[in-house]
Amino acid sequence: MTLAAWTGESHDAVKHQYAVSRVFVSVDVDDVGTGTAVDLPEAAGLERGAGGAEAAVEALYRASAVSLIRLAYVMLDDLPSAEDVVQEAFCGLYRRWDRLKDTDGAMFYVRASVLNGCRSVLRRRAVRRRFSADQPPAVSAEEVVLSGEERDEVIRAVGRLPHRQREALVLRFYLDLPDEQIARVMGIRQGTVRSTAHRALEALSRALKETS
Amino acid sequence: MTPLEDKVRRAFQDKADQVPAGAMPPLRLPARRRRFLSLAYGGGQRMGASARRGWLAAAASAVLVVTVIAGAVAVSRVMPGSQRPGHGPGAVATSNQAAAWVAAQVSRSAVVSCNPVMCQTLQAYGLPASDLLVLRPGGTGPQKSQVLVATATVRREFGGRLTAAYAPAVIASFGSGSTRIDIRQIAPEGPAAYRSALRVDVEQRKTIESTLANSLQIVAPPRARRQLIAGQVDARLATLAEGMATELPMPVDIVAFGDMGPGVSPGVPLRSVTLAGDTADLRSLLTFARSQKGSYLPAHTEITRSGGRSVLVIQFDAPSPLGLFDPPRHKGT
Repeated sequence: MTLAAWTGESHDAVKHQYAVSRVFVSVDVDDVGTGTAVDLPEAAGLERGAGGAEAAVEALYRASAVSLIRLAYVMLDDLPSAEDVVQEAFCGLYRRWDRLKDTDGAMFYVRASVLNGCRSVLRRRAVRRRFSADQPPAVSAEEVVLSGEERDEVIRAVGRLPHRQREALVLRFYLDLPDEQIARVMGIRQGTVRSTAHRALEALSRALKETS
Repeated sequence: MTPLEDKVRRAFQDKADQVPAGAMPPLRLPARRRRFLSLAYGGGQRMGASARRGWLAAAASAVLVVTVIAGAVAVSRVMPGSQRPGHGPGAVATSNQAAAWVAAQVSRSAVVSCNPVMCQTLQAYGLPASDLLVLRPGGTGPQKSQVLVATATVRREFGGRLTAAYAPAVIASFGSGSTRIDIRQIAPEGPAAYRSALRVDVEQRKTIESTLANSLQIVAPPRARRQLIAGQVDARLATLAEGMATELPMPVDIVAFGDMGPGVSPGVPLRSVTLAGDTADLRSLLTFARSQKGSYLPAHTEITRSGGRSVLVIQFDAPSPLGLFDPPRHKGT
């Protein structure tokens, strides 16, 4: 069975997701997890049936949810949305469980889904702002209290970058991915990764100078 | 690595670290849907069964599905407490928002009543089981708690009694429609007594807070002044501000009062304030706030920066007590 068959999505989308997944498993970043340490109920294959799927997906969730929520939180700067994206990714995994070939496939799928979910949330936000002429939400007193000033400024400035630039920065500076893998994740060329990251840093530098 | 890159890296890491290792909301999996025909034919082919047996399996599956659905509907009517508050990402997000709000805002000494699923979510957000009163069909009502988390399940279970008998005031509300979750304050002596006490409390707050609004020691923008004159500020907060104004030499510079609960009922007071001043003044105000005792000790106080200046944020927990401004009662009066 092809990857496109079990995800039920277009070939391009699956190719992109697969690229994302391949990148994650080949990078030794503890916070994201490689997936090899997940204690799934069935090591050799996938346990079929609702009970087995539920137990396996829950085990995977327990093992990887926090690191995935952190990744989504860095991308979205909004904890409920981050939790929601991760929740949705695991719900999608559960629905497709019977079509997975192995447990690695589960990790591939859920990680790719989280990044795709973040992109969707950012797109929806952008559309909402465009039509309602809303500004990004003001920082609440609670957020101010909870956050350091410098970090807060950087995160706010990152939040104002175009989505692609934001994603490039997160992949490079949070996940520490090399340009080659960022290019595969984002579906662009390495040269474009470098120019996107360069432009993002320039914009960030300007924004931080303005606020300081 | 340039200083900017280093700054970005640290900001991302700090941001990620804001999500504590144990803060994992419970996973809510949807009901899985199977393709009807693949169940019949796919299963049959793998087992080497004939097409006829496949159709028999399909028919048997259909009967089973109908039976299970009927059973589930019957069980859901008998045991509404076992239902989930809603499905889909919106419901999950609302549930998490409500739980996060309760964990951050509700007094640690308050008992919170909730249906089993919501109680699980609250526990995931750090509320101890001993502070939760799980509402089950046919069990005790929420009277012994101080706060009720009213999900759709709870609303169905209690119907009109929710506002008419137990909890007339909403102190925060999240979501909309069937996924709406209201955080309600329980009225231990009944809604009529609560409404009466709230009316008296608002009048007393108006009187005392109007004096505060006109104090020369209080500096406040027009909106905050109007809120004081209208008696919209929590009695604990007003008492603390009055104490600061009378006992400390510096003026109390109010930036704004805050309402920590979205969608609150009328009359439910504002429980937070942001004060401005130079660092030394704010430290004195902070020390004063933290030296309060009992009900008057704020749940959260911190000096931070906002809008390019230092501010002190003071917040009291929910629900706001009523009757703090009552005159002392004497025997025989």
